[in-house]
Amino acid sequence: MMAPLRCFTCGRPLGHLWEPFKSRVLAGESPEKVLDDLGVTRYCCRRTLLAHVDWIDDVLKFERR
Amino acid sequence: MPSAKVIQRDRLYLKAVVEGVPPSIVNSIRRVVISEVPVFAIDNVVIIQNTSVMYDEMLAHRLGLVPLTTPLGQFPKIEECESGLVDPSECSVRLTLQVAADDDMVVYARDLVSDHPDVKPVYPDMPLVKLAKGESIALEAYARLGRAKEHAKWQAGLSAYYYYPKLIVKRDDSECLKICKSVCGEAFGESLKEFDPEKCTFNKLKTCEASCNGSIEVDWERHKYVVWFESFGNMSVDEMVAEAFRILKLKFSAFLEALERATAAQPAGGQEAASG
Ligand SMILES: [Zn+2]
Repeated sequence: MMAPLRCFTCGRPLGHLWEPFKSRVLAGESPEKVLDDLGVTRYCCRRTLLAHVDWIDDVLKFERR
Repeated sequence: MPSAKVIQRDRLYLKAVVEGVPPSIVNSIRRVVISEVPVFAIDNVVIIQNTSVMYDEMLAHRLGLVPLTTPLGQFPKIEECESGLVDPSECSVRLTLQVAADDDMVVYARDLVSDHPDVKPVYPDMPLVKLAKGESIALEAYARLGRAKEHAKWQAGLSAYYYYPKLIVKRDDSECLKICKSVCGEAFGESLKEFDPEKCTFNKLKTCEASCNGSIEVDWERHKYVVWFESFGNMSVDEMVAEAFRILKLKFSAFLEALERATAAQPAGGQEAASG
């Protein structure tokens, strides 16, 4: 629904990195480089950010009337 | 005599070479850091209003996961909180969240207003929920000191260690050097002999041993380790490790006391019979 606040596996806080991660990747940067830059070193945390799909907007559509 | 040499350190990360202790001690410290160092986390949420698309439970769950700064010195010790020696209110902090969306908006951790100036979200930019125009949230959240063995939201950080690797070069092998450099690039120089053990982990080195056809052998130093600690930001890594040592020492003394009580209670003849 919304970006996970922590890594599911190790517990490292990640929520604050979602917005910079998303905007930089959408701007064309390689996800690998962005994750390195953000200091996300473990692969559990990398997959948590990489595999997230933000779909709260799809739900919010039904709230706007 | 045990010793430790710090090889890397900043506010949230510490890496050291530790020598002269059995693995059980290093592992105890690791386990205390992971599951016993107390931090603040939201544990009780009173929802006054929630017209967002998230269920109350989901919102409360996300609030719980928000890391909060934890100045341990300003609060009672965790044992006092757990045993009821102090009033539970002394181990908790109230936070409030009040937002009404005039337009589509994102609610961030920074919107949480804390009653205590030093207990507040560590990362203010964490998104909690999105609101559409007209939706609103009003709630009271109570954070309390707790331990990660109860719930991972109270986890202060991480720690791990590996044995200090020992590389034995049997013969010079350029093919092997190429493989090892692909596994541990920074650790190797111009030949296999130019090796820095602090830049490659034991496991990675074992991987390179396995693909080298006996050109190198990987062993480890007994009672020597590379240990690292990572704080999740609730407190500095120094404070986290200091608190871990305090808790571990407390456990040791509680164990010794229990042992002394048990042996004192046993009649003198009982021991002879047991050893005979
Ligand atoms: Zn992780």
